[in-house]
Amino acid sequence: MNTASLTPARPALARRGGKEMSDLGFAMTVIVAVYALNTLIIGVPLGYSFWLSLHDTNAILRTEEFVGTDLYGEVLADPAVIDAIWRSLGFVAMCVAGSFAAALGISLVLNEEMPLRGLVRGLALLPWAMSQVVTATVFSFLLNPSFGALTGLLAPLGLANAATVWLSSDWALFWVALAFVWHVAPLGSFFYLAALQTIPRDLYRAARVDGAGPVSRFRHITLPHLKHTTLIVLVVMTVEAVRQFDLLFSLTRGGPGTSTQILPLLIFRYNFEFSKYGLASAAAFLLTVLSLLLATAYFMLIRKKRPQGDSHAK
Amino acid sequence: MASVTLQGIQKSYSHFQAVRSLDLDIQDGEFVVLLGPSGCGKTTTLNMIAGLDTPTGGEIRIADRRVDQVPPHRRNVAMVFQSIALYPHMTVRENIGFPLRMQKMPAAQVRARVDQAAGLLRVESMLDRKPYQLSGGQRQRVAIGRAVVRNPDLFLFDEPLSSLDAKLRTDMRVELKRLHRTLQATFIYVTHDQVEAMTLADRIAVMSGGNLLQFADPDTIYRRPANMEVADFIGNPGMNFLRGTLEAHDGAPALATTAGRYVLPPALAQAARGLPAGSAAAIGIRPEAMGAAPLAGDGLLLQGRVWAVEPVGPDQFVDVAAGEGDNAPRLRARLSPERRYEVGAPVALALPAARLYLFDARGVRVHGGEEPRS
Repeated sequence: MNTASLTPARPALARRGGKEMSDLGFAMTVIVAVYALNTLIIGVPLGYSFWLSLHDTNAILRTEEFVGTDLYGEVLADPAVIDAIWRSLGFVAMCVAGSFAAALGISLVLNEEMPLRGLVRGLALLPWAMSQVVTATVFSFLLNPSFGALTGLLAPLGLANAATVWLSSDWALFWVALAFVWHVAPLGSFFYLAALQTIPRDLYRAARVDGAGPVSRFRHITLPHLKHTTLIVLVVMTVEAVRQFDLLFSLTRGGPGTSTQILPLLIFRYNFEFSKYGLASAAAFLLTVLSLLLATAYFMLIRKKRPQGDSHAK
Repeated sequence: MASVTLQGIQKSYSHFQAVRSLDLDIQDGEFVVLLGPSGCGKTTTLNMIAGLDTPTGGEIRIADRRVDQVPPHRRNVAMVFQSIALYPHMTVRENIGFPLRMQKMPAAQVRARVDQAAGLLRVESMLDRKPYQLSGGQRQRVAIGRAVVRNPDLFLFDEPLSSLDAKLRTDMRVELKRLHRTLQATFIYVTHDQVEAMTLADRIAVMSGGNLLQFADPDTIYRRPANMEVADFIGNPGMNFLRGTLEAHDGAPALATTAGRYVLPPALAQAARGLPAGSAAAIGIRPEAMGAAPLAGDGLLLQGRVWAVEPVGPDQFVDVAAGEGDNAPRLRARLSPERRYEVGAPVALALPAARLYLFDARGVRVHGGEEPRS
């Protein structure tokens, strides 16, 4: 009875089965599609901006003249660019150091047993989920001399008053870096949290029996385990900091003066204020090289002692 | 060298009691195995002895020193974990030497002790490798080396062989037994594998549901199980039971079961007279004690049908359904492989009286296993 009712003829399905794509055909289709998409969204703009960097363009006359690498020379000779590069490096250093430390610290706290841990973890990610423009707005309120929270907190202690300008030319870059850390550290902390959760608990138990205190356990088990994640975190933070624009533009617009004008802001000005497209493109390529150099440096640094394979497979 | 005493040890969590008032007296140099199914509290007990868990009640003494509030590293115990738990980024040498370095022992001394331990465990040639470059068996030997190097009073093993394949497990078992002989230290070993327990232990503590069921040497555990739970857990496969109600049949005690009435042989009958008539009871017999009919001497003859046959090389397990229907009691006999049994065919099994057990309504053994083994 069952066999009769459960096996109706399905000619439509049977015919389709015969024309299934082969494994190789499917793989090729997917790969080709991904490459095509990548070429379209990455390759074309990159190629165009490289082309721009080799041409002197005039937006009003709509002329383009091939100038070779002249624009690169011009960029490297421009004291504003050199200043911006140094400022960028300083900014990146502050951002990366700050967000690395904060990310690690936050993740270690979030990894502990605590009531409402899921909720706390969710809330901790919130700053990263916010738009950078919102973050900048929050910080501009925080740092406002007349009604800002920072002045409000420090004034009763005699450490600040309504005349204290937090975003001064000496300190503005620091405060923007702090806003960056506040915004980006949660992302890093989630990378770390994921890594922390993969550390087998038995390692800590073994270390406790072996006489390792909390500091030794952190040094000999936790830190070595976080090495690869650290590479990822450092690269992500660095790339984020090198190309940082939103926070600076919203909070200081590069000012006061040029005190927070890092390379991406300068490129923006070249492009949209002075319409020097070629110059902007050349500077942008310098920025890319800078990011690449930093990422490579991290990689070399960490790869040196990298253990290969799964070191604690059962 | 140390004796270990557990007195009324308890461990309870908010909704769950992992260990209920456990008493154990382990002698210096003894190899004790905590055996039980998962969730029986054996690993929790081991963790409490190690200091990784704190008991919610009772006392733990190692070498007559009360330790239940002492941190793990001050108990002078070493532990080998189920997951092996080698430090992945350290070489074998660094792994074995780690506990000594934590004690701030001078480097030269650490080196000498590591070499000695590595020699004992035959891992000298691997000292500069990382754990991921070792096979499962080598890793476990390194983990044992890390325990041995400290020269501890007490070795704790938490299912150390369960991550190894069957062949390796047998080899490592022999090595562990030899290691115990060499070191003459106290070993406490947790496992759910009764073969490991039987082969390794001086004494086995059988646990279930947080309780200690029986604590005795392997032979006693096998031949004189305290109750049906132990009898069922020990043996491969476990003991068979014919459950029923005690009643008198023509003046002689008998067990009424769903498969019919069995008049008890004289020795069981005598034990059954001490139990109230009408109470539940069970006859037990080990698979290897049963034979094909006819029955020589005293005992029971059990008629049934072959339910399943499992050849295992030197023997075959024959499941026999005593009676009709799916609810008929089934007994598993370990029989010699010469004779072929067809599923569904009628079969008669001989249950010799000398190998029968009788359990009362609470499952406690009231008869069986008395005769000393020659």
